[in-house]
Amino acid sequence: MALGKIKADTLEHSTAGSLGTEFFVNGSSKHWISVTYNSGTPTNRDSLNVSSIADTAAGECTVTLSTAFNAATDYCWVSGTLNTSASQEQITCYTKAASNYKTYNYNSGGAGGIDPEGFYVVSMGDLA
Amino acid sequence: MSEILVNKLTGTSTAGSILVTGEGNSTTTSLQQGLIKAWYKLNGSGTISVYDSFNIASFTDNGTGDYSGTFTNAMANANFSASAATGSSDVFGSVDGGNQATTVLRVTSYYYANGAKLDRAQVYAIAAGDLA
Repeated sequence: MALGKIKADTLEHSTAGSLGTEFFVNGSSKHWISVTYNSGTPTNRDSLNVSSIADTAAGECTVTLSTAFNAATDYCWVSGTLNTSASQEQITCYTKAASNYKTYNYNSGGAGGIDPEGFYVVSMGDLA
Repeated sequence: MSEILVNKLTGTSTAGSILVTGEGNSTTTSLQQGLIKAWYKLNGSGTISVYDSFNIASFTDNGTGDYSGTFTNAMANANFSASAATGSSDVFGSVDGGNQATTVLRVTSYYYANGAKLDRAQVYAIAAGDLA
């Protein structure tokens, strides 16, 4: 059986209201990832739209996407750190291209290039 | 303009997998996996209260700068991606990975310079991943 295909501009729920389908296309996150570190090596615990991750340097991790965004500069990138101890960390987007990005981690004292316990990223934007 | 009235979308080949054509009109992305599965904004000062949320049944104040939102519908595993922030310029939000579970999104708000936990009136959190 051929796959079904529906084209519509609006979806309406009986009680919860209606939503333009542009929100499904533009409003869905196109990428997310959950990474943990073990002895300096990052592991992809779970993800959407990730081809590979690489330990580029201490405190740096390069994430390569399976399907690229349409432009390096336009897509939204938000992050979180996975902290289990009193040492709170902050992860930033160090470099960013349409098909990959590199994270950079700081500890709570402001020192950079420190491997985190783990990090999360969610990205929204237009796919290529 | 076309309009579909529906209460539930289900994939034909796989119930939990519907593809959406991307903005470039060529690639596709998973609708289910791309949707944010939970979010909240709460007031963490004093007795905590929620401004607004999605897929959160209840909140818990775990102590200074430490909050939990319990999901209405649980995640499939505890490896989901998440992010947190606050409305303060010098206080960051962080996901408490040590207490991450399928049923809860626990976050902390902390002073950027020394990691000390602080209550804040605006605490934001989102979760992306797979529902159970």
